[in-house]
Amino acid sequence: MEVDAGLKGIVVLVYLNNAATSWPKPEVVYRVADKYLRSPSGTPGRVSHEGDLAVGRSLLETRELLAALFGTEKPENIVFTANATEGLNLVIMGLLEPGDHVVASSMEHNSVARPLYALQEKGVEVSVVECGSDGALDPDAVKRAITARTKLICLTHASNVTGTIMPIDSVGLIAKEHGAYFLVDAAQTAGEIPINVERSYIDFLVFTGHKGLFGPPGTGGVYLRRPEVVRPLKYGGTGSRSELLIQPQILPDRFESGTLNFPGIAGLGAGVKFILKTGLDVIRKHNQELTAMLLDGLKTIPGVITYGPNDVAGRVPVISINIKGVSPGEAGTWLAHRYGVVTRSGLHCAPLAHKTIGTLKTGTLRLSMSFFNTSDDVDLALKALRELVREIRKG
Amino acid sequence: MCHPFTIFTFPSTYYALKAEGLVKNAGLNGRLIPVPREVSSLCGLALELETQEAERALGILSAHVQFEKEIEVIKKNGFIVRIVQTTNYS
Repeated sequence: MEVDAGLKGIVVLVYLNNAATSWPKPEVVYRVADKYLRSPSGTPGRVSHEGDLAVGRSLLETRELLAALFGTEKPENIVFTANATEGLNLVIMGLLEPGDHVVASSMEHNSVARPLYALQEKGVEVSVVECGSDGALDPDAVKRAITARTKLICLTHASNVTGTIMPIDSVGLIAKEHGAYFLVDAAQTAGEIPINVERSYIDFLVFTGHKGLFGPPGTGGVYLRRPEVVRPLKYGGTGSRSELLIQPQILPDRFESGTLNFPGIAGLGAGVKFILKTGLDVIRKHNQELTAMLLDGLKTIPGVITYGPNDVAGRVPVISINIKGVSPGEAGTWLAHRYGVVTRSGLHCAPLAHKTIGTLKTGTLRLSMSFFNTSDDVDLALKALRELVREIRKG
Repeated sequence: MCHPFTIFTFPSTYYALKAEGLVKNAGLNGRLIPVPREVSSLCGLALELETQEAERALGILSAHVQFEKEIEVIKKNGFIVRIVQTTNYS
């Protein structure tokens, strides 16, 4: 059996799982990733011919594009990782020591919560600031949680469950005033909301490539304002200072041991270029219109409970719902099989967030959109949901 | 035929690639080469220019990249036959 046999016969009419992985990508992303995967390049940066150089140049270009997107003039302070989870682990595990105190919100993903929980076993103290039932965070609550030993404040930029946008500017300022480092998880916002690491006093910005930035899975990274305070997660070959057995201190090499996913990163660069060319404001406006349309439509369907802020300005295009009388898993399966509407059900790897909004036992059905969704997609999803509710009511 | 070249080495390939872009944008004929063993024990990339362009390249690059060394060499048929002088920056 061929390895792609499982892909045959898949029918997707409407894809609303962009908070997990965006689909489709801009055509140029597929083309560029394919081009670099086919190029004869041994190891980027360990050059012997033009193919290696082309790969090296594309890594540089992607780094520079990301630096432009995130408002830093130091592209070398952006290091590539396999995803946001690896980036968050790099900062959290590489920075914290026994005796340190960390403040995090109750809307964090497990990619933050689990490393912190693991470190608690080793003597790191963790304070979780409770958010409102719509996921909103009060910056003053963060301030109150800070102690003399607070080394780090971790905050998701937007919840992957409710879409709630967090007040990173205010919390960044609080971190700065209290001498704590500020880590922002931009998994749900990079490519959707403008981010400026200077304006928001962000010391560590973690992003993934495969969501709003339109890159392939297996790409992501971290911007590190203070790289010297973070131990690497990985040690190994960097193509520099090879005569030494100690890990180079220079960036980006310090955190980039081993061959990078260069076809993926080249694709990510194409995705970021698409975003910069299209304009974040254009993308945001489109996504907000679709979010408003979906929220308004959901309100008219009996038995549908929506979570998160009512105002589209306060959220990314991620909407969690529950439907009375049916579990999110059953609803998701029904929508996919009957209408080809792809959603995601369950806890979305964020039990703290579900506890906050009161859905820890049930989970939610999540609908998440991207720039490539249309109003027709929203119409079809609403039509499918109305029919689902009618069927449930019929019994 | 002997020809003078100047080779810049860097602490990371990131800076080598950045340097290449900067000198090319300035209209200079820099090219990336593997770091020659004769000039450094490092591996990775080096930027090679005709020596007459080296000073201008240094002026363009110094604000943007970190250097390890600047090495003036004589090449014959593409191979280094003599190291004229080495300047350490690190």
